[in-house]
Amino acid sequence: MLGWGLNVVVGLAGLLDLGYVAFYAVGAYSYALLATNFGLSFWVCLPLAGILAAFWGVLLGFPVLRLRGDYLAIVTLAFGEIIRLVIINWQSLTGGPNGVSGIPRPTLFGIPLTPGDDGLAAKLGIEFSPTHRIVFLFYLILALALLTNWVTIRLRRLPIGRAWEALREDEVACRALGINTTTTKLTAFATGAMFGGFAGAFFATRQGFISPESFTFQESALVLAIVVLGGMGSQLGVALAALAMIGGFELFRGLDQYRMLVFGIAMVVLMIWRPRGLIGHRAPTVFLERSQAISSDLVKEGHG
Amino acid sequence: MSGDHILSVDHLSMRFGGIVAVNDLSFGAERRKITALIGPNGAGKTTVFNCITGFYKPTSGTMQITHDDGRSIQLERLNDFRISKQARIARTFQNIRLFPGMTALENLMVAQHNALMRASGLTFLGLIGAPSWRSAEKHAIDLARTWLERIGLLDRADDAAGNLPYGDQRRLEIARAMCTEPALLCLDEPAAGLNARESAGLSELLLSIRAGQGTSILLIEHDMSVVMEISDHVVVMDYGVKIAEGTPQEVRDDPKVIAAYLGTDEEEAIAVMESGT
Repeated sequence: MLGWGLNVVVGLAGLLDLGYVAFYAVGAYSYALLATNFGLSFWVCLPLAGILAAFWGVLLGFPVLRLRGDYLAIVTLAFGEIIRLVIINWQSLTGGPNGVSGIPRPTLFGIPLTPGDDGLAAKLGIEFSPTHRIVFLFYLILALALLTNWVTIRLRRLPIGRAWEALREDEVACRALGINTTTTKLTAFATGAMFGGFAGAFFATRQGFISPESFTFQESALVLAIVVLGGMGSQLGVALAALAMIGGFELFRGLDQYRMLVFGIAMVVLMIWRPRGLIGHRAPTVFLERSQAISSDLVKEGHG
Repeated sequence: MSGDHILSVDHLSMRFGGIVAVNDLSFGAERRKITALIGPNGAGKTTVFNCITGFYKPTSGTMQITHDDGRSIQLERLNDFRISKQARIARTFQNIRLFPGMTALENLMVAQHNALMRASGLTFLGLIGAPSWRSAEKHAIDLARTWLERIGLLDRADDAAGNLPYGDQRRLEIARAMCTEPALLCLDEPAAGLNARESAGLSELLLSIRAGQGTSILLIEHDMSVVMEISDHVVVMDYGVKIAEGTPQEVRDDPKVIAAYLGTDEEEAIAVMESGT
């Protein structure tokens, strides 16, 4: 889901964002703090976390989006670090390195999944088992991921999505066609950040505990790797890549210290064989007669 | 200057550091007419274009567009995308700037961005698939289809723009500019790199745009066969200043223009200047 969110920013709009984890953190902390301090439920906080992350996306975007390419990447990288450092040092609010614990679990329309009398298991008259919650969380993330995917697919067919891609292809031409490039980039940033926020809120509720250690540059790099591996702009590619990355990580766990080596070699091989990612071609958003994939040779990568 | 001008440029100057690219240039483009801006390489034609279309901010001077409803807009006060959005001026580029990784149809759809954004309720109506959005999208596709048919690319609508032959890309760029439904269409060397047959087709297309849509056209062109055939009015520039203007015939016979294009030795130049004044 993070991959899909970042895909909007990097894949479609061609803006290289190395600090994506910042929005993930914003989402996670906004849920954690709202829930523990004000007792708001997961379903209220989820949209709030998304909105807050999007707000930060816009806030970051305003000064930063006039930068291009490498410079944009560096500033977003710095932003990711700034958010992390703020979280560590703002002890009174975020608990600093200790993190926030005791984050409430999500409920099913107000019915908690607990062993108590008012829990879902008791209401349904079945025996309580902690597996239920894991299954529930699985379906929850699946639903969120599908929602992200659905929204992204819809967005691509809307003028805003098409403008994102046009921006990646040729910014000067966009301006000549009367497209406000600043707001278009900002919406891409905000949309990506919003999905990052959703994912963060889910992460917080799943773990029940969050600390700044979860939001290092490592995470940003991993998500970016997923997007690049999948083929920028391709939804299916990103899903496959996420599967390969996370699955591969677990699969090679037995190799211990050689795991990263295997990983690195795999990435290098892939970059040689499929420099534009697993699914490198681009599907048109609208067609008259038939939809035919566009070879990746023609699709620009964008540079800020 | 007389007549009904859609665009009037007054005392336009553009300096880049010490270089004066355009010096105190004044000219007008008449409504529903084709005005050509010609001159030798480096005369400052593209700079004038970039000023009009908001890519450069002129050092001094004013530019004003007057729409059919009498509304006037000072162009030097608007910047980049607002020129196209509010002043309704569309342009093409000397070196083609299509979206190569998007299909011909998508290119034309992007051009209708502002109209479609309104129709999609800034995305939200479109996201839930509201009927008003669906009909607006259908309308946009129909408009794009009409243009593809006019430039003879209907059968290649779903091909990537970057895959089209050069001449087709030129025409597609004009169609894309027209999809923004402009009042004034600015074309920067539309015939560059086209063969004689393609140039003739281009002339026909431009004449049909003027006749059909009533769009005023301002074009920079080196291909004299195109300029002479379709222009109603020609402005000749050299070294950033206007050296002549008039009908194609008048300009063709103007000794100053001939001198600028062919070059003269000094005596001849003096003779030309004297005979010209």
